[in-house]
Amino acid sequence: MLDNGALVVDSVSHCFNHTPENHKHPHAQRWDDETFELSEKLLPKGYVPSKEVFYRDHQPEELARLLFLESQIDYSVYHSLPLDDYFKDGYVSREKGFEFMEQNSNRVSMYVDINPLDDDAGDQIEEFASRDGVEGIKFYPARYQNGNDLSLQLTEDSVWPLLERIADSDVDTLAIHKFIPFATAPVRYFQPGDVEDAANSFPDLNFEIIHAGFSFIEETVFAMASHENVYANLENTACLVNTRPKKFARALGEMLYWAGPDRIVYAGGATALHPQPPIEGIWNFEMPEELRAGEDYPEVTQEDKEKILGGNALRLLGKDPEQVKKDIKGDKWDQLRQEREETGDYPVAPWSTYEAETATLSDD
Amino acid sequence: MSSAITPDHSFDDELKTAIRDELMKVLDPCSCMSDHPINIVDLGLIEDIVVDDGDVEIILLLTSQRCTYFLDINDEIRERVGGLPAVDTVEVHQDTSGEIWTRERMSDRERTARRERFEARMEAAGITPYAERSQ
Repeated sequence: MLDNGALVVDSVSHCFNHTPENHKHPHAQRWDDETFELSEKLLPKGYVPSKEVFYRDHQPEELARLLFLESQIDYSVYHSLPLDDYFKDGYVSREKGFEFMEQNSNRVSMYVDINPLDDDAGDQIEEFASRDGVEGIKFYPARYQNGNDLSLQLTEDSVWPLLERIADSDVDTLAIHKFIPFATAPVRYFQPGDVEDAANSFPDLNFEIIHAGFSFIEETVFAMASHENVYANLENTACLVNTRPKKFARALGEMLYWAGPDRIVYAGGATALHPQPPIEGIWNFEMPEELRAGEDYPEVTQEDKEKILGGNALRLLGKDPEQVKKDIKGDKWDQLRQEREETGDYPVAPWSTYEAETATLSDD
Repeated sequence: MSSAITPDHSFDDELKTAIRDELMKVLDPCSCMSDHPINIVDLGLIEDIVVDDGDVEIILLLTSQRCTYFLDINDEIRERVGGLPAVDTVEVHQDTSGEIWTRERMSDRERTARRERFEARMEAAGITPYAERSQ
């Protein structure tokens, strides 16, 4: 929660499994290592996890402490991942997501991963979308299969019919990874042109483009400005506010100038990244004068920041902020926070809950 | 102020000028996937050209240290620069100083052209900037 009482909503969290036993493809180790290196590049010193903490099969209890004790996050959207071409459990398993949501039902929603190439992908969408707490579907734009990087862009024949299944289901949001290429998949798969086409054809669906602002910013802004149902999800990009502030300012400035503040959502990217630094960075952010004068970027108001850090995500999830506040008031995490606030120990030191807290909280 | 070698950079060495001109024929592979390919000099990828008699070293500062197209860029540079009569060997290395590529490294003409294309696309789509709408 922000100091003024506004809720902080994290639009992407994961329980990654970075253990060697989870590897299925020769590139899996590289993927793990590059994800670790990303934390070194994107986080301020002191927030980079130790290798002992990072290289593990992260559990829902650990994620909950990371989000709700080590950061100001009040509510989170868990995204499971469909990367079972590289990792046995998909890298971020659905099972752990449902467990996380069950343990924290007033604080967690979930977007469920679907592999569009599964024969029953449409039925999976219908089934998962009907479950309590599931608010969206998650896609990736490429899949490694039989030695090839197949395109799974939304306009592919194998994917497009599934948009109709989502539109007919109980959820109305599709999140898709873009902007950060991985492994050997061609860069063009990570441009947002296909999202524009889909947003145009499915006006009642919301499209959340993950890692917006990291690259292809002008293409992203065009998609947002021309379609009211395209959202920028700042997973990883939000960290740039601290480590590449000029790049962040330019990305946010373009979004605000062309598309406004109502469709930009903060995401912390745990457990790969520590979610607290970008919250503080965004809350304290001011658009540099040179970019306001030179590019006409608007000031970032406190109201804008509240929207980005929580309000927009709650609207996208269909949640009433006051109801969420009532639901979480006095719960386990609220009590633990209050105890720590009294001793000046909140948010708790980065990654510290991964060891010391395990025994004391697992019995709750 | 960017340290990138620009298309207008003047050298006191004819060979360096000839090398720069060859480098301007090397297109950035990612931009080739768009409708507007850009060469690696205009993109601001050339940090330095070092000449020692016929031995040439090209220092690149890529937009990402993990650029998977480095090998392709390397091959084309070696082929083009190595084809100059005065050149015996060509080495291509990445800058390791920790400097980061920013858009300011792009040549003025490319940066301006890119922006004009973007604004023309917005205008053609009938999009008024939110910031101007809400005023």
